[in-house]
Amino acid sequence: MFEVLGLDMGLETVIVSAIAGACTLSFAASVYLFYRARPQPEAKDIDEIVRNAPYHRLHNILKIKP
Amino acid sequence: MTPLPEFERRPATALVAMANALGMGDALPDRDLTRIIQAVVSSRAERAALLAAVRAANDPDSGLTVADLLTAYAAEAGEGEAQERDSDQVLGQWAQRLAAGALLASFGAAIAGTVTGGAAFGLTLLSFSGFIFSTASRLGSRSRMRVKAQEREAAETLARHVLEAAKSAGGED
Repeated sequence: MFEVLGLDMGLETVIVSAIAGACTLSFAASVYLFYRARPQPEAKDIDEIVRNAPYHRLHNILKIKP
Repeated sequence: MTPLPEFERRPATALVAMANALGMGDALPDRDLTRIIQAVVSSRAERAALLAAVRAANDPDSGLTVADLLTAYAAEAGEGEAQERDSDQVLGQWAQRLAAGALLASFGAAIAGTVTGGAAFGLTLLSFSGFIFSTASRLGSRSRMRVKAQEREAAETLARHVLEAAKSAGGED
């Protein structure tokens, strides 16, 4: 097969490489989808953000327990 | 005049405080704000506490700012949902189809006898595992899409309710 191109490949090689290539592409796409989905590392704990929120801006608007 | 109720320090009141601080020109880290909004939107207790806080606030503008922040968050979640759907349709679906095609092709080649022995077995195994892997990644991406859609809807609803609550803001004194 493909003698015109000067390639000496058997039908088996062609089919095996085509299927293996398709599988590689499929794996690569799935790995990319998984990689995209990794959750972002959380910089701060939610409790810390709640503790350090700018409550002093509420002094005339809302009463916050000290 | 009844005394104003005192509120605890919790994500809902932190969100109102952040909205006011933003309105007064303070700079706040975006990630903290997103984190707080996420915590408020996803919890029923925080949603109720936010509505109560907005209703009790003396300044109707703070309710408006909170509603605007929530709407912006809903838009972000919608954008994330659209990106997830795009990548699922462009990559996920085709990865699955490619692996299924490879599986059928390796079966065909093995049956026809073009590929024999270990190569045929290896190809079938490879394409089968590729199919399973791509299916798993699609399942994950679709569940993330649903989470984003739910976050968007929850934030939109909460923003509407906050606007309603802001109309009666400061009405207690």
